[in-house]
Amino acid sequence: MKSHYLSRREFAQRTGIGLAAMPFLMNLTSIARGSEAATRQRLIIVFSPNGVIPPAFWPDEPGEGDAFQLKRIMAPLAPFKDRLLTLHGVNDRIRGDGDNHMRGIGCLLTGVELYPGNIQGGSDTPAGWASGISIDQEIKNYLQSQPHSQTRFGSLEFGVGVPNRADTWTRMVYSGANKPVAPIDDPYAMFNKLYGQRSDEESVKSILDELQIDLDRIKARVSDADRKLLDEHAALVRDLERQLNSSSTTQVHAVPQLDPNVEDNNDNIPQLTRMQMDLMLHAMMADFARVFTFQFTNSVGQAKMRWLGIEEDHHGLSHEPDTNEEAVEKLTKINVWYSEQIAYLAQRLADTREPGGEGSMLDHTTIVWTNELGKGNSHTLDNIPFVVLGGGLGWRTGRALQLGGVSHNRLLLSLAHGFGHHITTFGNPDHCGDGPLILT
Amino acid sequence: MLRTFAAWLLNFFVVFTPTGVAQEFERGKALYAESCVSCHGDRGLGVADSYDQPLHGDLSILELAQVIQQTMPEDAPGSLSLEDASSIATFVHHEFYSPMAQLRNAPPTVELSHLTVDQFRRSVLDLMIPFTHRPEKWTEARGLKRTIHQGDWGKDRKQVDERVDSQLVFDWGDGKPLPEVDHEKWQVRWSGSILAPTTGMYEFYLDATIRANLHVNDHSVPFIDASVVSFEKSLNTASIFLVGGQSYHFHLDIQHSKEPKSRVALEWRMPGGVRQTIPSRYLSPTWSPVQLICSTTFPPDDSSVGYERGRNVSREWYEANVAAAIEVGNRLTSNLKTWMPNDSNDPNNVDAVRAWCHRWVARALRHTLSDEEKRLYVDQHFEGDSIERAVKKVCILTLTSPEFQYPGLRPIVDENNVALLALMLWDSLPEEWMLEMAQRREVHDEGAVRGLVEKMLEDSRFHEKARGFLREYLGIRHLRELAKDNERFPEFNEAIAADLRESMEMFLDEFASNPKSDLRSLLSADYLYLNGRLGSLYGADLPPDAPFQKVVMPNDRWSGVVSHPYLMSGLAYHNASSPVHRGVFLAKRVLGRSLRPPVDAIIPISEDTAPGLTTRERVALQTQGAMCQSCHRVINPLGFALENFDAIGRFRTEELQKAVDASGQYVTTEGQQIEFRGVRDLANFLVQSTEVRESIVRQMFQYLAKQPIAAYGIERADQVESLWAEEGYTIESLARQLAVLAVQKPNSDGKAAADQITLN
Repeated sequence: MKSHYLSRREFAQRTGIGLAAMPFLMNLTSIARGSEAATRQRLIIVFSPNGVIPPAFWPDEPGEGDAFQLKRIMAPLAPFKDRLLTLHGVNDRIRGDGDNHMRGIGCLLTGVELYPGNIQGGSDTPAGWASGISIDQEIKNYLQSQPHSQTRFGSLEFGVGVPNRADTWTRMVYSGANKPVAPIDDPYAMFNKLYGQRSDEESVKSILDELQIDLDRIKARVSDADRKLLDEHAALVRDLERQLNSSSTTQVHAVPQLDPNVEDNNDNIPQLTRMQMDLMLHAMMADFARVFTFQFTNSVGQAKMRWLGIEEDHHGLSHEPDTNEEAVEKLTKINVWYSEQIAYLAQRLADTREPGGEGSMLDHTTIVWTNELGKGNSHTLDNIPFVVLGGGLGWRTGRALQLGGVSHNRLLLSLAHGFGHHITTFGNPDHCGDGPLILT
Repeated sequence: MLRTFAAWLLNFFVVFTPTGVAQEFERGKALYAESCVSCHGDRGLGVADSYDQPLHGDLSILELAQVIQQTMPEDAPGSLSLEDASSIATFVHHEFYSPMAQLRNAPPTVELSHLTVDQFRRSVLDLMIPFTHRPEKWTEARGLKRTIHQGDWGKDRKQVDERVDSQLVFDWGDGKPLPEVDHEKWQVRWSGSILAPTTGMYEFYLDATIRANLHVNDHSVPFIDASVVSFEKSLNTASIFLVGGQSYHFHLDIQHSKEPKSRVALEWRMPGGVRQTIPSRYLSPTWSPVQLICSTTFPPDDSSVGYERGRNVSREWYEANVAAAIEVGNRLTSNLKTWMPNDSNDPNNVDAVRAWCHRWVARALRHTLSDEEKRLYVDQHFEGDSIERAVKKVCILTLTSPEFQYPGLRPIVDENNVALLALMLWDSLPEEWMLEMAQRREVHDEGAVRGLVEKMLEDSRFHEKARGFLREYLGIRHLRELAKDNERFPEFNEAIAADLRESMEMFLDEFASNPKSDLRSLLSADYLYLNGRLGSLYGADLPPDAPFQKVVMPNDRWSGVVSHPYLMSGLAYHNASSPVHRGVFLAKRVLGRSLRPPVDAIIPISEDTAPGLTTRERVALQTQGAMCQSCHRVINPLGFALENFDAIGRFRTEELQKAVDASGQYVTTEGQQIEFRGVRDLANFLVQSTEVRESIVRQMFQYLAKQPIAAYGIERADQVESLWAEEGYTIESLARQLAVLAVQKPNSDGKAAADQITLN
């Protein structure tokens, strides 16, 4: 994960995050926009890589309530079984250039082909970036276009353990054709993005007294006429001080504390995940955004989950045949770990009251857990894992569905419709056939 | 060319003896009190509800008399005798009308001002000089160094070729960059520096069908990362804010492995320009460091007095100042190691960073810090805070502090002198060696100042400032947009417009980069910079693809900037020339005359409503009213002399099948009437005109010092002008004299104080 010339943290910082990203003072009072809490809806799309072990993942039978059983991988989600919706039988039908890992992640949220390009994967034809916007960005643009759902960032793209290289395998989110959006996988960089301005205000506040002393000192050296200009300058300093004092008292939302100096490396993935999820929760509480993505590593992700006693990298393991029981066991454990992270996030949301609204934050949030492949060793794009948790989109949960091979574009449409964004096609229109899946 | 003034007017002024003038004056005084004072007030400052404009201007007495005779009194213009009008003009001119009388009545003073926006950005950038490696001096070579390697990294990789490319547009099809390359994998790197000609946003367009990474002002993080190529959409664009006159680290890497086509093209769009290949004169194979750029948007500087100066103390300005300080703090702390390149400077060592801050703050505040100042600005912020936070606070305090913002208020003269000289000649901070000189009190007397100025003039930052002055003098940023009538000028397009701007920049650069050249040639040079495209349009014999070069033009048709097609087309309408714009340009900018804006907004008479009239005839018709003539009597006859140049600045001898009349005239502020025909004649007059030279002196001082020259003494402009003449009219000589003048602290009565520096 560590680059030979630049840490990801440096990269994120130097690519502009925190650098005059926001006009200072322009947003002092509007960081959290007061919008109708009752209408707040949130979407979190969580990505984990390399497919799943289907028999340990999907419920054996479709059903509702007690009529279906959670298998081993989804067992950690048992406390939320009535908030859960498993969608077996959704296929990624996008073909064209690129190998299945590339298309798996690149077409997952865009529902459209990759451009032909220069990135060679496996024995397939080489490809470039996806040729369309991803559904999260489509929804974000829709929400940002409406006064009542506008937020400071619109969307936030989290990551954990994403390699420091921009290629088709590491990008899931697209703001448009050929425009991939890099996830921020360094919690300190994300903290800077969310709260950097706030800490700058504190720094400014701390030096204003000295500035006044300085102005007084220099006033003694100028003529009466010139002193007038310095008096005006001093008045501006006092105004700023007043403004900063009043803005900090109106901040309702506390800034989270991050553990210091957690290095961005493979072995810290569990801790980094917690830090990122906590930041995400805080960002939701402050209503910084309504749309979130959370990308674990990347397509072909090679995390070595030593904390589970697994030395091999995830992708390498995922190529082992089903007959390799040891590998199947390890892959199952890896996916159980991902499932536990979803459960942690859901629990935090369930434990937090919706700010200014009814019920818990989970009632207003829909988590979609997904993957670039249906199954690692076959590289199939059929039966892509789609697990829905929470009440954000008002879908009827507590169900295990078997949809029998519908195109995943239709599910992407359903997400947009869940926000009231009634588009008729998304991505490649050929795969939008009968419109959104009806999940309410 | 010279002609004595009309005899019938001269009659009234044969009495040009002191007694004669005194008699005229007294007579005029009485007449003014009798007929004029009720509307214009006893000091000519105007009367509310009658005529509230002050009677200020720079017409000669003779012309003023004519204007009075033709326009006054308001209810019966023409009723005054010419004799009475002349007496009134004599009184008014001496008492309050003329520029000299205005200065005498209200002597300007030096006003406290903060850094201008440009000075702020340049100071921030130069602050880092001692902490980074300096850029190599640009050699003659233009373009970028290109190296080609082939093979696999860590295996058989080897260099195959090295040379300099002047442009970054290559299409090798399915082939290889060189026949010598005999490997499927090859890499090309173009490296060197890029010069930003002006401050603002630059957009880069990288179109590559193979893996490419473009670096601008950053060694390690690509500005455009095009490692992934989508063949159908291979164009990548990105913008970056750059400070003008600086060169920046630049490199472009491409890597071929299996791509079917190998094509790469890099273009840019300068602020206000068009998308074009980067002209090679902005590229150099020499090395440049990463620069600290402050890109925060500021409100524009106050320019209410006719030039930009730091007098805008407003909430917007102050908040921009704070935001800019935060931006700089972020840039510093996000990669402190970049700015502490010395191995002994460990960015994690508190003591090292604190010492670094002492030096940085001293440089920003332009003097050595006392222990008290070290504590105030630096040390206390390190108490109980992380290094990152501490550096940020130091940065915010320093860059918003009045010591940084208002230079020249130190109790020690030498410190003020180096601070003011650095601002005047570089728009920036003094170098550390200058601060050391000041600390040793070695910048005290005129000789020392002259010696220092001499050194400073050799710095490329002065060349940049000189370039800025020439652009300002010619009013480049006020020119009309170069978009022309497609039907009438089908040959004129965006590319031509961009070429014209380039041609002008190259011409100005001759003077800015060679401050020893005679500034008069700016007006009289017999050459233009043209490329093939411009050559075919403006009548030079060049191959169509010829690069820019100096082309000697027919001496009787062209003359320096006065007829430069960039100015001529910028001072024209989209379909016709504009003698008024050209006349205003000559009167106001070149000759330094003061002109009032027209009383009402005027819509020019269109060709349709006055068919068959030439441009000259239309303008004459429209401005024939007596009120219009009070200014247009100066403007029109100047602009008419340039009627040989059409709306795109092409030379013509006919308009509407009539021969062009390019005759013009000018009455100097002394009352001398000059006549000329065509641009060469006009330029010959301008080159010899004292008014032009005094105007340059005044405007250059304002541009350098951001103060009026008269604040340093009413006669100063005159004195400098005559000394300048002795030294051959070079920019360098003028700048030297003005710099020496500006470090003398004026008293409130406008006289230089003897205690500041000793002038011989």
